Amino acid sequence: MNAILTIAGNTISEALRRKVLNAFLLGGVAVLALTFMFGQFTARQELTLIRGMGLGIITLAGIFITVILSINLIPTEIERRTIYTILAKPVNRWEFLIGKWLGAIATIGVNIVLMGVVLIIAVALKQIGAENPSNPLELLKGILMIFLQMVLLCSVAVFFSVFLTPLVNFFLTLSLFIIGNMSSFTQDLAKTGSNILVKGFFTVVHYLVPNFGNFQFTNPLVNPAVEVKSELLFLTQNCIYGLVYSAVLLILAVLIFDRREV
Amino acid sequence: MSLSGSKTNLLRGLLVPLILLVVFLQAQIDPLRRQPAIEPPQANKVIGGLKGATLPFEYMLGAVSGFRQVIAGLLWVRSDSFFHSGNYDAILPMIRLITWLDPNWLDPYATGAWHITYNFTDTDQRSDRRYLPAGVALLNEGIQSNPDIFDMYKEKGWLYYDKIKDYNESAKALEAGMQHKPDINQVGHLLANAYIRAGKVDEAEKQFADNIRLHKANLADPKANDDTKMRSGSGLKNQEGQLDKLAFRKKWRAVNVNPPIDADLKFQVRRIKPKVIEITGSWNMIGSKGFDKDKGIIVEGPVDGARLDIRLQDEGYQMPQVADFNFELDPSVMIMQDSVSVRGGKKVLKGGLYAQTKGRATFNDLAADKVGVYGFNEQDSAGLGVPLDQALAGKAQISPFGMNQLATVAYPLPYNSTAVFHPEAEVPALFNRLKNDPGKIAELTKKGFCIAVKDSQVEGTFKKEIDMSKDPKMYGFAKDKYELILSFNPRYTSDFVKDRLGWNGEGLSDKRYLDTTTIPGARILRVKIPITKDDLLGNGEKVIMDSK
Amino acid sequence: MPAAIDIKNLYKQYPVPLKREAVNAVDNLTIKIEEGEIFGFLGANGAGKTTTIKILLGLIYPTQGEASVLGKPAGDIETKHKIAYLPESPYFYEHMTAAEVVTFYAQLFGLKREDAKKRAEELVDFVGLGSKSDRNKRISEFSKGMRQRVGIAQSLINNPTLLFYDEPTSGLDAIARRDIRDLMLQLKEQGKTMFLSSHQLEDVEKVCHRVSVIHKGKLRTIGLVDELLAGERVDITVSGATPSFNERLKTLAPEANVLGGAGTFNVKDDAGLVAQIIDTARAENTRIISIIPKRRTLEDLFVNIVGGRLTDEGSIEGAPDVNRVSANKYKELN
Repeated sequence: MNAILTIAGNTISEALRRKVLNAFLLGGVAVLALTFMFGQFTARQELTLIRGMGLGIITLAGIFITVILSINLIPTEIERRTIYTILAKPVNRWEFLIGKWLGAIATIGVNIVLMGVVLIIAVALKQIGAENPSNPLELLKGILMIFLQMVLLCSVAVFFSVFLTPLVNFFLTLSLFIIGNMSSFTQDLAKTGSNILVKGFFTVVHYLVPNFGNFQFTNPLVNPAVEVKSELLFLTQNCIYGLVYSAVLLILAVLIFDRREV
Repeated sequence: MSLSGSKTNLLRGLLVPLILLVVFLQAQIDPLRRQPAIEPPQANKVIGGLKGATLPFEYMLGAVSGFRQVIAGLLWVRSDSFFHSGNYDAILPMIRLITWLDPNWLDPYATGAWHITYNFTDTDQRSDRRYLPAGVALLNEGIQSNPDIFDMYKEKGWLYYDKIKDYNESAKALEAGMQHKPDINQVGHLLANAYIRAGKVDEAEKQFADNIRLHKANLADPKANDDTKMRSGSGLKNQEGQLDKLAFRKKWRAVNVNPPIDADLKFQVRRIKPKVIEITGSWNMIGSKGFDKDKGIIVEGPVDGARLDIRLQDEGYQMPQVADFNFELDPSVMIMQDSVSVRGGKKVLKGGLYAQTKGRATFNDLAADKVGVYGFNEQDSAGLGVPLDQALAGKAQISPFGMNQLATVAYPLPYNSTAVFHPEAEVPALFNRLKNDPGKIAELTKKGFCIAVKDSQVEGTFKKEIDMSKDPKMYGFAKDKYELILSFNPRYTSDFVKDRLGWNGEGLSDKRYLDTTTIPGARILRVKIPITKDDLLGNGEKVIMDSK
Repeated sequence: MPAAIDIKNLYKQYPVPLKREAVNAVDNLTIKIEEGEIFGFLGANGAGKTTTIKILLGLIYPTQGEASVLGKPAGDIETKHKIAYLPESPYFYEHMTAAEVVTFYAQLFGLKREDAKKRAEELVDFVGLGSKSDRNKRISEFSKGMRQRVGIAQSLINNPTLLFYDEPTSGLDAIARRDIRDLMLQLKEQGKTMFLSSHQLEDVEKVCHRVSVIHKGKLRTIGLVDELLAGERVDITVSGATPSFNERLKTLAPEANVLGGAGTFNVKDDAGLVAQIIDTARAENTRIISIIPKRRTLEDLFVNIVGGRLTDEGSIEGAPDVNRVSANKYKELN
């Protein structure tokens, strides 16, 4: 455990210094601040726009930070040969992998929390003096879902990184992210496909491809008037889904990495 | 060091149950994820006229889902500017896009449906009713995307109530809206009125009572804010008054509808020039002039304001039910709908009071109107009677009814009085008072009041020119056969007419044009005139139909 | 007591893409190293030195054969508490200072943070990076020599029994090289076992007990330094050589010749022959100035063994073709 936490801590400190990741974070915060301006130009209530855009920006920035951080997590260590001196120490390969993963998701969490705080403050400020203000902390549900989505995305990228180059991993991870967001599409095709083979294929895709679409929780936060049935159950199931799927990917990554020659 | 064999086997063994758990969780999550609050179903819809092409919700992707509200907002601003510049066609695809991007935003559905069903008009402001199915479909979509909010149900109910005039459908929509924490003033009140217009008086009574109960509950609720309390306060007063009126109307309309009035509708349809027709006619529409809630109709007579609906459409046209919102129109379909107000009906009995209007002057005296005093122009009043001063000097006999009228006109009741006439016992004294008041007599005579020496009744008339030549896009005349339908439905006429004709036309009759089948339970006037394309497009004048 | 390192019939094959043959990076290697030994592992670039070290550390896996370290299979986690590794041109996290790097590695040994920091400070001082300016510098600002010192520092955290040093002096200036060589000698005196892979033959000669030479994956020679470098010829210097001495010398050693009555000639280091030459000189009144056995250099050994010239960078000029093993032969071996 000590080794895992040590490697995780080191990963965080290294990642937080990376200029490209900080660029995405700053970009995200800047655009969040700019959402104040949008109210001038649209007919929608400013709060609706700030909530919606804010969550969208956090997601977009989160994707870039997650993918760029995660695809390089293991390959960079091998390329720079820093892994040799680490694995020459009494550190199991699985400890190294989990430590890197933990550091990555902690970094992602820090970024998302920072952007989330900016958004919550923006919403709280906008609501000063408003009649019937909603609780800005409700946005934490959406931020949590975004974070879990990124945890799953990170797990996918880390899994691929143990046997693919970063370039191939980048496109594959993003493709999987896009497919995984089409949960309803694959679900519908699994039911209404033209023949049994098509139905079977999309059934497999729907259940086995990580369903990033599960974590889309923007609509009820942007439109507080809509009522979500079994909201707590839905959010809890999503949390468990994200963590269990990540565990599957990490187990596979451990098994592959264990036999990989560095 | 690689993992030991046992650890490797353990990890491999864990994979299967975890994957099964993932599949199980996904199966649990799917139905919750597809609920409208999280993933509005209408987002999976046909865009515009692209039949068979769907753009799944996920094309918006979770990543950019927050931006769709901004884009929708920007598009709405743009469509608003189109509206102000009168470019309504440009609004339609934008409504489609906006409601697809942000299915939980209610305003585009409501305003969009309003644009579609009200604002596409011809030069004379007649709306294009070919868009009504699209308007309904759009609101249905709004309901599907927002099933737990009353607003879209209310909008649909209003559309059926005001534009389509199908009060049963209106009531259905509003009833659904009542299940979702409605604004009683918007939904409950309209529902009660929809019941009335659908001829369901008992349901209306129950609804008024229900509205009252709900308003009281709001007022008693400690969590209700000031706005709610204020609205419920005014709503409560309104509904109590409505219920009160309903009660006495129920009582008196059961009685006052007899005997039924023969409307004796007469009309002529004439082509003036190609694509321009004129409809003229008259009818004997009787309504309540003076009504006392404790006594019913006190004075009845010809009334102004009842409207005859005029509809020219393709032969056999029925408004289709459209499943999906689609703003594409079939250009070969033609529907023209208008209405004409019937005015000028008047009546006086021998010994009764009337007013002679000079030149173009109309007679405008509410107190006199209430007691059944009509204005007769010079032509109609020739030989009808004598001026009041002469009548009081003995030149004409004043009937007891005339005395009642005179006493009330000369010495009007307080403005908040519900009685029509002075109490019968007081009339002689008032009449004597008038006779001894030359100043008053002179004043009334100057106003034109006269006493009739004979009975006289003039039917209300109507005249409407409908010019369809200025709007070829709306009136394409693609078909060969049309039908012109003239109709009058007492269900949605004014209360002073319904006081005499009843909720469902029980007091209405017509030898030729009474229709009791088109609207079950209602007695309406309806005449369907077959018209050909040649009738409408021919050159020169032609009388297409004359009911005489 | 088990050997510190025991390698038996070790093979490591790498398939050649698009070809049916494979390359033997390590080809039937058998070596045993006892505790306390400083063992030099020599070979040109691509000979298989780093591959062998990686197998011993568990970073890669052998195709065939066995390797054990301190009595446990190669790569065993518990063993790693007692070993250390300094890779060639080591890389560390650029954003850290030397002390932070060593602290990080110390924590991987299970030390608590405070203890790890303390140990790191000691080691940073020990390797000569303890000055105020050096302490605050990040690795990104370090020279090659300074990085090498950090590498040595991290290799000493756990006071290891066995050290794997791969080219510890590569790219360093003479002073730095000397410092590291002195350190290795210090470790030798402490009784550490070291597996030293290096091109710096001079350092190997001075530090190692035994050396081996590996070429194209195969072990070419192994033995004590002195034995391997012991020469096969002697230089004999004479003066006042008479013509008759020359004539008789020619019959004993045809390749030997003394011109002008004085000079040095070189003959095979054979006791009988040398004695005969001495007797002949005495008989012919020729004075023997000196008899010096000729010692080889490691470079000579190297070149002899691999049949090519060793360049400064450690590559062999004119080396024979790679000993390829066909896929069928590989299947036979398996």
